[in-house]
Amino acid sequence: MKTLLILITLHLLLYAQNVGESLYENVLLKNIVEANQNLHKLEKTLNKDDFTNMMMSWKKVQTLYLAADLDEDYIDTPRYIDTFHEGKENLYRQLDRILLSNDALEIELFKNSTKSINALEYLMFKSGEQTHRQKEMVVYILKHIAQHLQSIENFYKTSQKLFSQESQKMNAFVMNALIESSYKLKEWRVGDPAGLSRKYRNKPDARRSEYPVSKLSYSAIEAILLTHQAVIGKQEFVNFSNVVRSAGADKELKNVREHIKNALKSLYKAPAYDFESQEIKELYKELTALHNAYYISLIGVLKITSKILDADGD
Amino acid sequence: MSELYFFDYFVSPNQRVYWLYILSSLLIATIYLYFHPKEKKINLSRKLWLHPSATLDYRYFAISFFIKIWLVMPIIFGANEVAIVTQRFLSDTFGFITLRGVSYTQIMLLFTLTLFIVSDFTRYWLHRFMHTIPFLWKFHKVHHSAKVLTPITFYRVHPLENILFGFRFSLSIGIVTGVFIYLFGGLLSLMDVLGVNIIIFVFNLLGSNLRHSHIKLKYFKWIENIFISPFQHQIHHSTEFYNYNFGGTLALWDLWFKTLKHSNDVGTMQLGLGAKNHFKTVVDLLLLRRSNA
Repeated sequence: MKTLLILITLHLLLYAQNVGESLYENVLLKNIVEANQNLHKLEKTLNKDDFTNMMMSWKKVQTLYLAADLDEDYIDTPRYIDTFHEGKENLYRQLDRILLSNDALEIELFKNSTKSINALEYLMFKSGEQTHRQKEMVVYILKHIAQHLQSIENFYKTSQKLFSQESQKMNAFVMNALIESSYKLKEWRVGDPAGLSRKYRNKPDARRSEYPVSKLSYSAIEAILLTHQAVIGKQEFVNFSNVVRSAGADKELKNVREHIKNALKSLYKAPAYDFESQEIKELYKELTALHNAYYISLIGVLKITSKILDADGD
Repeated sequence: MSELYFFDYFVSPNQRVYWLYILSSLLIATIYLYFHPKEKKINLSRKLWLHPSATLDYRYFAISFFIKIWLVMPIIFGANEVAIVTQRFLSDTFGFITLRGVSYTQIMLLFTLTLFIVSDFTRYWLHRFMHTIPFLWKFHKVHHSAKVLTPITFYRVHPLENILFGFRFSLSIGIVTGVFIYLFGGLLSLMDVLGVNIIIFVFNLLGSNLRHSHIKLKYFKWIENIFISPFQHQIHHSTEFYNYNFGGTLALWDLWFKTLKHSNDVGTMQLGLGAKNHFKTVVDLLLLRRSNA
């Protein structure tokens, strides 16, 4: 009896917390604070492992980035940090040119792409001994990224109230973030290098992956999937799954969770940086199913079609 | 299609004979009869409510429920499935897009209005085809064979027509929803009252049940160019003008496609299909077995 009472109290306490508030606290804020901490650590050490940690925490921030939905001034901020799949310029060629130049970094690194995490990856992981200029560029880029990550953290901290208000709108933003992220994950991050996407069907090329120099693309994919799991998977805190479940879309929720789990399994099994492997093909299949499952859940949650009067005839 | 229980007809706002819509229609009818006392006699007479045509409607209404559950619903694919297929088709053809700059409220308004317009437009055309295509007219005659009109006449529809209207619903609503989900994702929502599209809810509250009644409620001519009045629908049930006023809620389709008949253009009229076409039993209705009387 006592256990039952405790369970009921815990249950009530859990549900008393708004989904938006809980996601804010346990995912959004947690991730951005962690990203900033990891970045500051990297600034001090310039260590490759610390780059991995920083990159993974940034991927988590990027996956559930709601600042743009709440304030249009923040629409472009992720693009200042990350230029994966943005533009057609040859970033590495430009960076090599800047490395050889003697001009001030403020002048040479005027473009956002050259100050992005992708530029940072190239400079930190490119073969050969690191030059003084290279280190200077790394420090300069880190400062640039820090500035934008800090602005996201500041925004989230000052906008806490927004997450507990207008829950319907907030749920819509979360759903859209998951859908968009699942699409980019399957098409850009897996499909393009694996030659499975519409654009590059049967033309695999690992150079199209997100972090081809450091070969950390699998880690980026893992960070993204872990964020999906935090948002909609089984967690100790109230998350988006409560919204889906309360709309009666239990079956759809189960499907989504299953695909995230299976995608992670395939990723962990995949041979090191082999985008042509069977496991990556499986991963792509699971991610496609995940993306579709999100839409099916969305339709289940919206219940739009049952809200329409189905007149018999006239 | 969602599950249906017989009681839902009266307690679900998704149904035409939802108690609130019946109540509001009764209220409007009371006000109408107050100003048209001469029409009280016919509207309150046992002759009308217990007319063989009306009692057949009641019996058919009860039996058609089971036909819908066992025959119609299993055949019709749902609007949800159509929405998913539409979204996937658009995504596969044009790739993923994120539309920004349209507010949540704007999307809600646009979606609510689009659903209503597309649904009403497709209803108009299917209804018109039910009249103009001889094969379909055979089945639609079931509805038009009613010699008196009661709100339950709305359900006097042959199962084949139910199936066609069900497909129309799933296709039109599913495609619109699929397109909007593709464009706006989770930002999609409907302006609804008690779970019903607000426009349809208001239409029903304003006496949609009087369309199948003998309350000759007419609107001003200019309004009848936009919305179908209850009397305009009664005109549609007449032996003479059944090829006019096909519209569900909007009269605009009738106006634009030249099938509009205003209330003031019609004097006395007879309802039904004439002496040669009527059905005596539920089985006759289902088997399209007409009797001469």
